Amino acid sequence: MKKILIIEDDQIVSNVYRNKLVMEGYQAEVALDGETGLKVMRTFQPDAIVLDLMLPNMSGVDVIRQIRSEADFSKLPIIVFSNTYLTNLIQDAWKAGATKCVSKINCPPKDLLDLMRRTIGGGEAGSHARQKTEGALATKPATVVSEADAEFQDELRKTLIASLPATLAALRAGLQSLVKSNTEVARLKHIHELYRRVHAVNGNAGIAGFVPIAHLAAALEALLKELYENPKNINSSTLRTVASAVDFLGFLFERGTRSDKQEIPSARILVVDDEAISRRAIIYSLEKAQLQSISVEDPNAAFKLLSENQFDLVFLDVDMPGMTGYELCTRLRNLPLHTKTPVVFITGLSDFDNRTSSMMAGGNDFIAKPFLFIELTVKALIHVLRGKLQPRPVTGNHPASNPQLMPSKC
Amino acid sequence: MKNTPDNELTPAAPTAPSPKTDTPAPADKVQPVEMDRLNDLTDGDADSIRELVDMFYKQTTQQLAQLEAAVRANKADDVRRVAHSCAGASATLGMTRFVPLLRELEKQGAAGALTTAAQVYEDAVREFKLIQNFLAARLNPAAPPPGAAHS
Repeated sequence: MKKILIIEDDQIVSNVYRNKLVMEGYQAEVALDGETGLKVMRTFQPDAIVLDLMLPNMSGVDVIRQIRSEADFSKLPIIVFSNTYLTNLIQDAWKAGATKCVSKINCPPKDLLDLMRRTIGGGEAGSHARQKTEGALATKPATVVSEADAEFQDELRKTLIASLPATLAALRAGLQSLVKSNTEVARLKHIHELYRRVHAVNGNAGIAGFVPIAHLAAALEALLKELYENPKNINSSTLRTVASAVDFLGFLFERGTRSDKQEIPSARILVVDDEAISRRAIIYSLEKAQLQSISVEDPNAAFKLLSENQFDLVFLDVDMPGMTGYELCTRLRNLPLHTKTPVVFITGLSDFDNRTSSMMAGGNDFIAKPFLFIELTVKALIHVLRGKLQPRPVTGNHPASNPQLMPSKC
Repeated sequence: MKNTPDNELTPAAPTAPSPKTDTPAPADKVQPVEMDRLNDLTDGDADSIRELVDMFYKQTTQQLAQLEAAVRANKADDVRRVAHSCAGASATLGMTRFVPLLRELEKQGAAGALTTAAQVYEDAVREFKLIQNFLAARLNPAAPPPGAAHS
């Protein structure tokens, strides 16, 4: 029987994976931190390790390095679970010797099982463990296995949905503590606590297949990690974004668990900034969430695009030659297509607290330059997901959007 | 996001070096460029960093020439506009020490009083050269620093 060691600090996630692997004929052990994991590895002698990169104390990357430094385990397959928004961390994991890196955003137990079968074999459907509990496998294996998987997944979802109110209450309490903290030490402590809670939401939503929740939680987790590691980036803009994201997780807990809402929707995003490097930074931040956009430098050209096409989200620089972002926003609000389109202003931090102009122009949100790339990603995800889960009423005529202009891939 | 194997993540090109300090450096020891921001913006891809840096050099060289002309001609609004744009791009790329100089030019331009703008402009040109030296050493560690070939 093949043996798998799961090193994962979230007990729900680790137990769900272990139960699934055991049910399918593997022998599985769990360790809740890196140091324990290394000790268990030496006695348990696994055929593969499933490792969460975001562990407390000893990091997942350090665990990989240690494993690779021990002769007996230098070739041991290590499957790494990570947050797709933490690209540098994933690269570190590759360099340290990870065998495979998998996104936590959407990895139900069935997917982990398939991955283990491909990597080390074993765990065949109809295994001894499974036959003991599911005698009908011998006659209709594929159908029964599929039904059993669906039932397992359905039960998992129900359990997670039942826990969401308590999870939301804890997130809100954590946010309140963060907002009220008046020293840097206290602020960092609360950011770290919030980060751990959001990390758990990401993992739990990922195994349950709640993709929008997992996506937003993953992006927020990456933002909180950035703030914790670089406190100089904690400011009124980033804290506002964190608060918006926690608030929106509450919205997703209510509306984002329906089985027909489990894809990140395609979105049409317009970026207007006269400066090329800033445009590139915005586009890059959107691409982190697989959101495609159209960018223009000329506000007049942007207005023409807006007149002829529907967009789901608009990012506007404020200070542009010819027409300011505020003026462009005022004009676009008079277009029937864009009375309700979310508009996010990108403005200097010094202007951030003076919100009157942006609100009077009809803006919905703002972000301070120089923004953290992951902060803009979080903002974009919030607006896109809200728009798709709570469709805005659009008034007036709906001219057909130019399909060549609107990348549909998300 | 689709299921496995599409959710398996792939390795990227080698990451450019980005030493990180745990404690904030004193103001006079702050590096000209926050390499973390450049690495983050390019996912650590060395070719993308070079492309972005080339774009920054080209754009900033033009903007500094425009700033010089505007300061000489005492065109405060032009100084404000160009300095604002240059500061935005520089802040985005993490040019930590360059940005305050540009913000000062923007401020003086907005106030319509270019009192010390000529000196601030000279400081900005000097800082831009330090950025170029810093990035040359980081991105091409084997290459001699600019000017070394003449000695």
